[in-house]
Amino acid sequence: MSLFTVKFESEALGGEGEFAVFLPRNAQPPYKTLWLLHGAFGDFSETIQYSSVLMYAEQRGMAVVAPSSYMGVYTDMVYGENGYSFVKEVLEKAPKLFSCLSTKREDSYLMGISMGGHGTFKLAMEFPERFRGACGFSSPVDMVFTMGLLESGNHGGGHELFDAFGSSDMYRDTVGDVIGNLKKNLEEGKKLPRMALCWGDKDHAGFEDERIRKIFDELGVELYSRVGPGGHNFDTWDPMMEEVLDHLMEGEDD
Amino acid sequence: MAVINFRGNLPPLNNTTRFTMVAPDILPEDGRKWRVLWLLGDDGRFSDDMLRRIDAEALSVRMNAAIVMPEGLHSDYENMVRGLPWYDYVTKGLPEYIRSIFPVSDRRDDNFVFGAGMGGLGAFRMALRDPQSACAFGCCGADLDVFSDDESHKSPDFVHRMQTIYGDDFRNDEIKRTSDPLTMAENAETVPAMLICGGSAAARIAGVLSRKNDEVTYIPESGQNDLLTSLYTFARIVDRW
Repeated sequence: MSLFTVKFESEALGGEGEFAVFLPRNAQPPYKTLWLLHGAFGDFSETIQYSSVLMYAEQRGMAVVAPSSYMGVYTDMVYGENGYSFVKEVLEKAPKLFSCLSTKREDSYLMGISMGGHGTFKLAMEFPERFRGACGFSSPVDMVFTMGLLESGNHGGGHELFDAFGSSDMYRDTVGDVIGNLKKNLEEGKKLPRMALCWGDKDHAGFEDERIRKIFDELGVELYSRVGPGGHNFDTWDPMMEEVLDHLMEGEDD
Repeated sequence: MAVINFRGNLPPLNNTTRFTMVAPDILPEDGRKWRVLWLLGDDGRFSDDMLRRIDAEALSVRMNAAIVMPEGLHSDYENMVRGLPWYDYVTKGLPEYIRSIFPVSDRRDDNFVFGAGMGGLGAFRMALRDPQSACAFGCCGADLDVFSDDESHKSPDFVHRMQTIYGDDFRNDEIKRTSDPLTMAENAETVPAMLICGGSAAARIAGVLSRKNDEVTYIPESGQNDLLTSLYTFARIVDRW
């Protein structure tokens, strides 16, 4: 893989923003693209350092674009940075700078680690026409629900989640209300990306993802899910990445 | 000369951050470690912003010092009420880490702090909160009237930013005691060597400080090349150490 670190003046951040582009050496442009969202308190390098995602992508001829989202909460924070607007800014800017990146739906995939999975499903629901596949690993997909847990004292998160999201009521019916927006997309008959969600059997977030699987079942939406051995860490996620990518990419676009 | 870009997760931020460092090629022949200029950047800038705004390698040669340029995002380099502990990072976590990796001196007389814009505010506060951490401090273009409630400090964006850093009641007396530059100057018992470049607020504060230490230098801002003028004046000041 070839690495490009791009720094630019971000309107969303009101300062400098950064993303990385990894281009495969074994494929020809235009490249299929995996948009990779890191977890909370990390940056673009986190998933690269702790998993083999670049190798998996290169084996499939995919480029990887990884924004560094401040604090990695993928929302325009009540107190803090416009993290979600920044990621959308990167979605627009990267293919303009790197014309080798395909923006076709059939070539575009999202992957999010932990909190990055919230950003993944949020983007997938706001732009279902933009992505063929979206997958999360141990992710708080429904942050309205997660904020409710926090408010009732049943979640281990800290004050930073209140700073970011405000409250469950404030986040409900916004662009970040993933389940609400999934239902709207279904009502409007929109074509959804293929979706996948994986977690560990000892994962503290596992019950949240189990709940998401049930909601998707009740709504009749296919969700590829796997529960691997382990906790909330890359040892658990990395062995599931290849099969998830293969599932999202197999066959023709739905 | 080496330019080093670091990216990693350092305490006490426990969040990925960057710093850029200009390092001399060789160690001093007398066995001492590198002198070091801690150069704090402006609001929302990455660590290599100062590398572009000044000729950091030339300054490193002029000062005979390594230069470490951390970033502070939109923090005022404070321990944010809603955010990360940037003050503890730049005054403790970062120096400890740097000194564990590079031959950087921990002697007070080998350490200098300078900041531009938001970084100037951070350097000013370090001077009066932790005067033992370096032998000279400089600030240029800082908003030293940041707690004022005049018209230029009333916009919703400004108030929101202040609430994020200092809390909702950011103009209360306790916060002013610890963070307002004029109040800090009036209450300061120990004033190190300082250079302050700025407008009327900076002049007023420099006046207060210079009555406590005649090694406080004030440069009125001109709007042209203030940063470079201040930095090279600062370099002359630290020549004596």
